[in-house]
Amino acid sequence: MYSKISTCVLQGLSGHIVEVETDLSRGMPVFNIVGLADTAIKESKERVRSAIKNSGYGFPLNRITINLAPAHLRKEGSQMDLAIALGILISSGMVDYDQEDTVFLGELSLDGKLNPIEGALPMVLSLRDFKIKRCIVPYDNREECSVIDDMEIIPLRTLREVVDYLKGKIIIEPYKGMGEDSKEKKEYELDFSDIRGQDSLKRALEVAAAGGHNALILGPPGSGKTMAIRRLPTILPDLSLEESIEVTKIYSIAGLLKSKGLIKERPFRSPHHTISAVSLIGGGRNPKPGEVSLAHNGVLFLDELAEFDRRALDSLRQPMEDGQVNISRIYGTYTFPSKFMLVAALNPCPCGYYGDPYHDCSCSPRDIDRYLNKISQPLLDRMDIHMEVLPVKYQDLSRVRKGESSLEIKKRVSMARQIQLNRFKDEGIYTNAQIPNKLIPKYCSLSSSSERIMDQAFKKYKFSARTYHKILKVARTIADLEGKESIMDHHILEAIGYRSLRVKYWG
Amino acid sequence: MDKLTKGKKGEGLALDYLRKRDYIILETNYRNKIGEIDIIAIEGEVLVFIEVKSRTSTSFGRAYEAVNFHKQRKIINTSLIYLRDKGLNDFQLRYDIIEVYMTNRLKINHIKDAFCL
Repeated sequence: MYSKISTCVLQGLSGHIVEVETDLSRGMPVFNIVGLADTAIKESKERVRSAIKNSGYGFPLNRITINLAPAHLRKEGSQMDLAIALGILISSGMVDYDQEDTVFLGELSLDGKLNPIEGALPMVLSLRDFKIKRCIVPYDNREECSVIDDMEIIPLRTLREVVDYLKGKIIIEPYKGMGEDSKEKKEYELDFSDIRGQDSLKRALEVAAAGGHNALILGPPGSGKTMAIRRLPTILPDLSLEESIEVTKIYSIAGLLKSKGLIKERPFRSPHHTISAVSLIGGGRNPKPGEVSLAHNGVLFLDELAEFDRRALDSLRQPMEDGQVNISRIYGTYTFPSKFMLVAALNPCPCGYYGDPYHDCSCSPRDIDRYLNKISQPLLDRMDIHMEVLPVKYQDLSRVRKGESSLEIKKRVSMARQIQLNRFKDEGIYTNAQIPNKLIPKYCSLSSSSERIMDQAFKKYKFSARTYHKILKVARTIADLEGKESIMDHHILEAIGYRSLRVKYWG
Repeated sequence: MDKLTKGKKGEGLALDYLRKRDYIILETNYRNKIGEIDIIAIEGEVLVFIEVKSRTSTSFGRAYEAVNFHKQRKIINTSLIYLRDKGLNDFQLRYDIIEVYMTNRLKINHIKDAFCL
């Protein structure tokens, strides 16, 4: 009358095995679930009852007690339905099952079908760490789980199929995925060749994309800031398998996985400027990843940066620096990765035309100061590349000749990224922007003439220590774009050029 | 035919129906300070509490609709006292409703496991 089977719950990105213990005893026909279950699990009672009846099995008339062990862990999610239903069927003697190496995941619908669950990939990945051999997942989750090859993934469609599978009536081969044929190229509607002129802006975005650097683009309205940044995903290098798994895990727990398999493109998130600090960073009663985590390994684009809530912007500082966010709530502390590339665009003043050679700015110096000071100095410090754009000249606009296509730029960017991947393969990082400070002398050493240039720039611009490191990292990326082993003078000069804007506007 | 005799007749029909199906009848019209249970019977290993509802026409709704939440609670509470008084702790329990339609054609509808705690 007692049975025990395993399922899984997530806390942040890490999964824990939960034992579902079921006991049937005589007495009043009640159905109790104990063990810190949340509402979705308490409600599973009704789903389980209907699913068992509608799958053609009898629902026992006994007193049913279900314990979710370990009892101290707070459980959430609907993936426990299947384990609870099976626990009841096993306890009432309708199925024989006594192995312990299988984990059951799945939400039941009233007719006994297995519905897809949120967070299947992170669960299966952590189950692999617990040395679980076999996992039963809903059929619709099979693609995302199939990246794991040293575990048996059994995709099943209904409760009846699960029972028949356990009884040995049907034999299901572990799912191995569709293989490499799903690797088709994504066609973008946008292309860098749509942009006329603005070569320095394109160059800055290319450097930013190559090294994963943060970029701040400042310019009057209509100068092509947003247009260029929207085309950034077309030149970003493809995701590696590890990066792709990291991204898919986050989207899986956020319930945003639209395609069934792994995410193959770098995320590009552009939240509206009314976003709150919590939705940017992540949070909620049971913390969910925010925009910074959804942009992990990709781009977070903040258009009209000065319009954002200052509190929201400053909350970005720590995740940008650490590459992860720790969110503490009563139910626990969750850590989500947030290694994103921040790209921001803004106007130089409230009316937008300050510094524009063709329009008059109507703002007072005080207005401009107040506008620009919405962006705090620490945040500015963290932007590796500062770029000012001017309106497109008529000669450029009317020119028929097209600029470089995204494909050509992407080729150079991917090459530079490959150099970085090879260089950092033992360091646990992917890009130049992620080089920790202690490794900077190792990878970004300067020649004596470059040292002199840096010295002069330091005196002129009064750089901070962080800026110094940022300049070195950007110079490293520029050198990588040229395929050079060491950083040369013109690399460092270009990198310093990307930091000189600050003196002009925030001096 | 007044209400009481109609009810009695319906319960009599329900009893015949149950006896034909090998139910062992323990009590009819069991009463305690909380309420009343029409029939208490045993089917195999299961102790069954049965509420009988009679109707002479369906124009005022189906019979089982009359067993609403409050009536269910009342039957359950009454049955708990019955179990305690008789010391019947080791039984599986079930609550049934039997609808008796005394229209032109007599019809008995047995709803097993109609409600639970």
